[in-house]
Amino acid sequence: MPIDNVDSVKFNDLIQSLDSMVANLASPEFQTQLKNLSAVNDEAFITDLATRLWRVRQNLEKPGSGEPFDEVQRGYRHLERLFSHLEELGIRVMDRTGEFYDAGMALKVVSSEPMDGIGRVVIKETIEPAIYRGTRLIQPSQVVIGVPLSKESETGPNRKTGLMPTKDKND
Amino acid sequence: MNRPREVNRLSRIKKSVSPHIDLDFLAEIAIGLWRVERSLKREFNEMGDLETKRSWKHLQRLLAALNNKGLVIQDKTGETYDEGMALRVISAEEREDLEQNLIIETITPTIFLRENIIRAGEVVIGKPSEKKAEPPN
Repeated sequence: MPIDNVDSVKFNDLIQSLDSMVANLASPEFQTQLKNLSAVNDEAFITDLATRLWRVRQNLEKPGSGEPFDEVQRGYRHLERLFSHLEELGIRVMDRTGEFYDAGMALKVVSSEPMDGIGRVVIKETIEPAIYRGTRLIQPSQVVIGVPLSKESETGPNRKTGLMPTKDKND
Repeated sequence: MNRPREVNRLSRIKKSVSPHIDLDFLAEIAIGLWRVERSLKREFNEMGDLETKRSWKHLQRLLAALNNKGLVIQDKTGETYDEGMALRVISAEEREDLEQNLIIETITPTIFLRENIIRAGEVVIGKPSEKKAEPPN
């Protein structure tokens, strides 16, 4: 639109509102808020928060089940909601314990341990989970891998987990 | 193992989302943590020593880390209520056993970021019964 055709009243209104926007952006209150928020908006904060939440969850779950202990169901439900909040922002926590290990995975192997009853290398334990922000990996996972102990165990592992079927303790 | 749950989660995530943390998000996280802490405290008190108590330690460490960043969760349940407090009173109940206004329940705590309130708490207060103030016959 040519400048000559602009309604002068509307133009003045526009300038005024732009002025007030700039004034707000420059106000000490806004700057303080921005500074405060920047302290918690960095990726170090997000990875720390997500990793710590994951640790709390790990200790509320029956090992290897992904299910909470019966006595902490309520606290666990609230914790799950927090993970949902993170996911709404695209922050994802991945724990690949129990999966087959592949050298191409974006993982840091901190140690490997011989493990009985497996046919292939598996992720035995997760020390730190992988954290994604959107599609970007912002924290690679740190894991302990289990390597097969003997050739005998190559027969009959569970195809999905790599683990041999465990015998019932009561047998 | 954990895999099926992670797969379900993945399917819910919009990959195109541009993650951005704002004050509302922080307040929600802080309130969520307060709820986790409150529920676990009750559950642990009921059940005694449990293996899951290690999670309590981790939760406390998480809250301390947030505190160091200036994110403070304030629950004033049991304290005297004053109108100047940055709290929204959801309801007020008359109580004969009270001498002054008291915060008897916290619905959501007040959340501070570096001493600025980012979410005002919501509470239920108890106030002295008016009947009590009447002189006896």
